[in-house]
Amino acid sequence: MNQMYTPVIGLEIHVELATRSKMFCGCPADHFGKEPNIQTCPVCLGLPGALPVPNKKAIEWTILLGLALNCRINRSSKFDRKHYFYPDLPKGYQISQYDEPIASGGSLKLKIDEERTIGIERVHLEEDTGKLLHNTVNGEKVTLVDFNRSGVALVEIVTEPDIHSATEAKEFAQELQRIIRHLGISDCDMEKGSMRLEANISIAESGKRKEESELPAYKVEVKNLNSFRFLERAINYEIERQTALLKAGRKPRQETRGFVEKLNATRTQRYKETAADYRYFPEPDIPPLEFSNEFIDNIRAKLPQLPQDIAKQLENKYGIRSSYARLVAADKELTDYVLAVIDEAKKARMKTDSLVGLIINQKIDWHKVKPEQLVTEMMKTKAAQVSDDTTLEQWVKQAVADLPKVVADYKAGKKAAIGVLIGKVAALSNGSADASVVKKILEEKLSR
Amino acid sequence: MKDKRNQKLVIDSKLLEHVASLAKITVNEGEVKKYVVQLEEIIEYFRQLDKIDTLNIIPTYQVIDNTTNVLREDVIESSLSQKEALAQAKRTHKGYFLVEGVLNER
Amino acid sequence: MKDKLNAILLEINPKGNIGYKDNFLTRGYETTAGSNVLKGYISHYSATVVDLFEKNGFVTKAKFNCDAWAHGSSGENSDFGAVKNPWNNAYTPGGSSSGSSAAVASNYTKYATGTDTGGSIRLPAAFTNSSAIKPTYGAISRYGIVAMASSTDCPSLIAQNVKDVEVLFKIVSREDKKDANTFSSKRSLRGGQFKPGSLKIGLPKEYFIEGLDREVSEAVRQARQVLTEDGYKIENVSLPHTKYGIAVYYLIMPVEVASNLARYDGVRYGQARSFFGEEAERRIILGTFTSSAGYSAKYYQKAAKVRTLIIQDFDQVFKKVDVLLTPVSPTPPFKLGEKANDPLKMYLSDVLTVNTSLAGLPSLALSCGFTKKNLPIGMQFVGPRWSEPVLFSVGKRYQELTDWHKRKPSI
Repeated sequence: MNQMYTPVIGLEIHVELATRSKMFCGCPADHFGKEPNIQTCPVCLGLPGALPVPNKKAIEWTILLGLALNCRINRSSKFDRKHYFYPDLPKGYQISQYDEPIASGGSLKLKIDEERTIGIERVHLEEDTGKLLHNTVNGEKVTLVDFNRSGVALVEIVTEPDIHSATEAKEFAQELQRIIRHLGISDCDMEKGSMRLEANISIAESGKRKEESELPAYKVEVKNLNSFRFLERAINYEIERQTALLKAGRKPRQETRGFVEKLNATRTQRYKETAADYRYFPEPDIPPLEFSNEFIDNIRAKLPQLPQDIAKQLENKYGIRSSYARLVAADKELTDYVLAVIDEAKKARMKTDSLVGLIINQKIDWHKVKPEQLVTEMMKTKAAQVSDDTTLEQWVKQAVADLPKVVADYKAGKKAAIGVLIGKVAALSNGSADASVVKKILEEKLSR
Repeated sequence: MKDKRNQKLVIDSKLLEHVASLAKITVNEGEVKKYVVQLEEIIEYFRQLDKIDTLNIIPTYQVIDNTTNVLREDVIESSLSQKEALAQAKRTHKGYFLVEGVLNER
Repeated sequence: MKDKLNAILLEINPKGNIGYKDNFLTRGYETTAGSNVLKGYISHYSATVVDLFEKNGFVTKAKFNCDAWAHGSSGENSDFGAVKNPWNNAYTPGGSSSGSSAAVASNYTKYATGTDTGGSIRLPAAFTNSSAIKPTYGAISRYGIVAMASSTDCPSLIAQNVKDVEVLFKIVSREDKKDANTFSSKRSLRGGQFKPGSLKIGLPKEYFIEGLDREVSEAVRQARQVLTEDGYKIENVSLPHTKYGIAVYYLIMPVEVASNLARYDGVRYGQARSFFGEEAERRIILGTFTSSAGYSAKYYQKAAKVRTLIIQDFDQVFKKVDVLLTPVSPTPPFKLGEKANDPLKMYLSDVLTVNTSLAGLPSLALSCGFTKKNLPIGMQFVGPRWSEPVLFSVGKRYQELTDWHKRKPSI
């Protein structure tokens, strides 16, 4: 029997938005490295009588992200209360979105070996919780709570279970991070905690082909994935673990597991026999949201060209190699710089790929060197190299040897053919050879 | 457990205990008994809604004249000081609120 | 500081001229909401309503006793003892704004606030010969008031006559950027555009059912007579879904209550949840149950749909008449202890007030007579949303034609 085991993976990503103020109050949202509990107010501290009022910018940015992920923006949306008790949740409920999220039904293209599309189930907006510290005070095991982060605007992105490998998951997470940073809505940093990942992993069994498998009846939630590396390792560990169980005729348990770094493995955190009962109901303190077409179009107009598309353009239009293109496209400022360099290089008829290579490999500090300067410098260097006639001679010799037909055409009277030979020398010299000098040498050589 | 009319009760002790724990309310045996009786009577009273036809009726959760989009500009406003934030807490430690014991995972 | 009636939880300034129900936060002073959970709680900020009154020259005199968390119709659910009715100390002054109504009726203060979520200012006003407005939901800011049921909570005003209530209302009825539900394009749409004589008053037949106390129905009939003689047009109308109001209210309200009380975990302030009283616990458990997975659709969501039908009833009726006139309570004031052990019986005393709360409508409660035992009887004028000016107009006119409101209890 040809049993196939296909990993079925979905990701849940939380991103802290870099708004100035929190989601439902005017406290500062930037909490990284601050003294505990200095940025709270009745609203985000859950004091009696406090009421939430939503942050307009957070909503706009969520729509922007939804658009960037090809989602449908839901014209009617609202907030709901999600109830559970935990010390870092001051109101005993989190204001989130349940059945009417801001955006849904989107997709993101990956490009590893083949172009794959990962479905985005939803993008919604909610508030963050406070932070917990486990500690021992005077011999007593306690938990310390800091509410600076409580109430910060948080976007949640949920993918469809379309991911089939750890590599894909990592690629997805990285691409999402690129897009979010490119939009300028979050620093989206795993180390700072402004980007957090959770993975849902299960294995689909099938007798024949991948497409015939149904979604497995269980799923394992994996938390504590503090880096892309951990994400990959945890997924690979789970795939192995679950596959082994299935092969042995057993069914993996539905549960929550955490990645344990020092074991390079996942371990059980909690059984999830029944789904949690959050007793969602519509948030009565906040009027619902209605997005007009005009409002959404205005936001759509602000959508910048996305990294994937920029990378493609750099590749196809300017001949930059794919790995360089992706790196450049991930940084808006760098993209602008490189485009300026390409412009200058074109004028000087220099090849751009190696120039870009210099920038990427940090051979020059592009923050300090103006594009025109860089190109001029490069030309000087190359020119210095090729003022040595011997090198030029060698390139000309090579060109003539490589293109016998062109040489023949030229000798037969097609003078324009010399252009092709000049071009070949230019390619060999990486654009540094002086075209007029090359022409003279060629003419002299071919006249014999 | 069945009541006088021989109908199965909606709320029994087990369910009540489960609901109480969801709500983080501790109930002793006597309270469970008392609440089960009282709540069963109340829930029985709710039955009268069953016969109302609400098939195409949209539920009402707010009475605000269908107002939408009441939003706040993204500006920073003053916060409480650390002292004020902690002032009413029973236990604090170096600027943090203190919760006793080790917690289960969320 | 205890007073004879147990209405005062905290006297702040004996020279003050306004008192607040103890679920209004007052900066620097204790706010308990009538519960041991918040005993000793000192707030850093005041309710918007309190700030507005202070800005307008009012001075805070005291905080008034109330049913814990505003849960109750008699004041007997307060963790600090029940309040006595100044008209007869063996009777309840009504709840949950029990202390506020007793304080105003006994002339401790001319002005007080309360809240009305299902009848909690109107019932006390009716039981103590006071005048009160439960405003349009959203007219007055809820910021800084301990939340009970978020979708029906209305900060309310109580005084010795309608004129004084109106004075208070004008100061605090405004938008507050800290309470998103105070913003409505319909606000101030209904500024008294009517001719006094042409006002049409409707009497909904479902509010005058069998079981309505004879003395209550007689008092309201007399009020109807007074108004007819003054030129108001009176007609009978119908609100068919009236009888479902209690079921709908006691399905929706506990869900919101359970949610709003989830923040009281004793970590950042207050006592542990074990300090909740019995009524609070009952409502929390009930609300958690009816909104839990597997039951929510059957109970909570069904109730929300019937709520729509109740609102539609009012919409229809207000096409025919401008204002409704109804009794406030199916009975005159009852004795302390009479209903305390029967939660459902206690809930049923709200039957004439909950529907207006579910619909978010304004209601002006005022006295319309006394029983043989010299206990006050009250009635209410109910109008469409934002029709307070109309209610004040007809209320003031009624108090020109009668003098129930001038009577004082012998203290």
